[in-house]
Amino acid sequence: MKINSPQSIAAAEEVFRNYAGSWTAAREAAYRDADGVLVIPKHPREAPTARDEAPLVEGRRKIG
Amino acid sequence: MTFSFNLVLGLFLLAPGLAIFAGVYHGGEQGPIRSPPPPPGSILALAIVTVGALIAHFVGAAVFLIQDVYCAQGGSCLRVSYDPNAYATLFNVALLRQPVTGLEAFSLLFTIIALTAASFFITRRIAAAPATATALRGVLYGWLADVVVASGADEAVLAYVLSDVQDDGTLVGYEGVVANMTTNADKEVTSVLLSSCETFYLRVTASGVLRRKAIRTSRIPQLYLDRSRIKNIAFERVRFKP
Repeated sequence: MKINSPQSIAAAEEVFRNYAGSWTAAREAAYRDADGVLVIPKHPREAPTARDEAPLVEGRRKIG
Repeated sequence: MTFSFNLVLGLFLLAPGLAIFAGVYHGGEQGPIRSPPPPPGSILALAIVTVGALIAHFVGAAVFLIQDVYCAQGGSCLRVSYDPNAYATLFNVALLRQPVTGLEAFSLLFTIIALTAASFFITRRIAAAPATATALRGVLYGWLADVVVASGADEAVLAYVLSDVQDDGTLVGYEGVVANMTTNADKEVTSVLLSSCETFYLRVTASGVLRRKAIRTSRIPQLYLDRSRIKNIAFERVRFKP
């Protein structure tokens, strides 16, 4: 029996690839929806760069 | 192996019941969940086949009875040179050992075939009706009736399969997308095919259950596990968001 459609399997494989072949990593980025379903973002959130973490100075980030 | 006349006759008479059994399972199967029907020797199968055959023959005999009454009361009937009542022919052959003509034999077999075909199609139609299908789900699928199914392309059902136990008591587990799953007639999972699979270890300690990711250099694209390697299985529906 196939409880996943081919489209579901393809979507899951894409997510699995995006998380470098780790459901553990995918679950770390996931959260529970209001109906209790585990929601996994299709793409992992990228690690914050130095630019993202730099303090804001007059609406702009001070780099360096 | 020799087939006696009584055995062949018994099978012919049970044919409408077997057709009803097939119609119940064929019509009741909806969606991706599939489960083999119960074995022929089970009480459920015997009940459906025998009661179904009885009802089908009752209806068949009733049709001939209505025809007899209608013709006896002066209705416009086509006169034939043989007894068209297949059941009368059957009793003549089986009980009285009387000879039958070719037309009577043809009529008997035609009646059984027509009754079998009608039994299958009518039962399948009834079993496929939404109200009946809902009532039959528990009978047909057992626990499988409650298994989650991915309802869209942005959802998938993952399975966590606990497999072999290592020497130190650690369990080897696999997590992946359910690509296919088979069960036997008793609804036991006999095999599961996982795609995009990840291996993990599970260890039960005094403080709780520890899950540890296995160190692998590559993922497992597809993994087949048969019944001997499935100790436990859990399902979880996940949703993907952009």
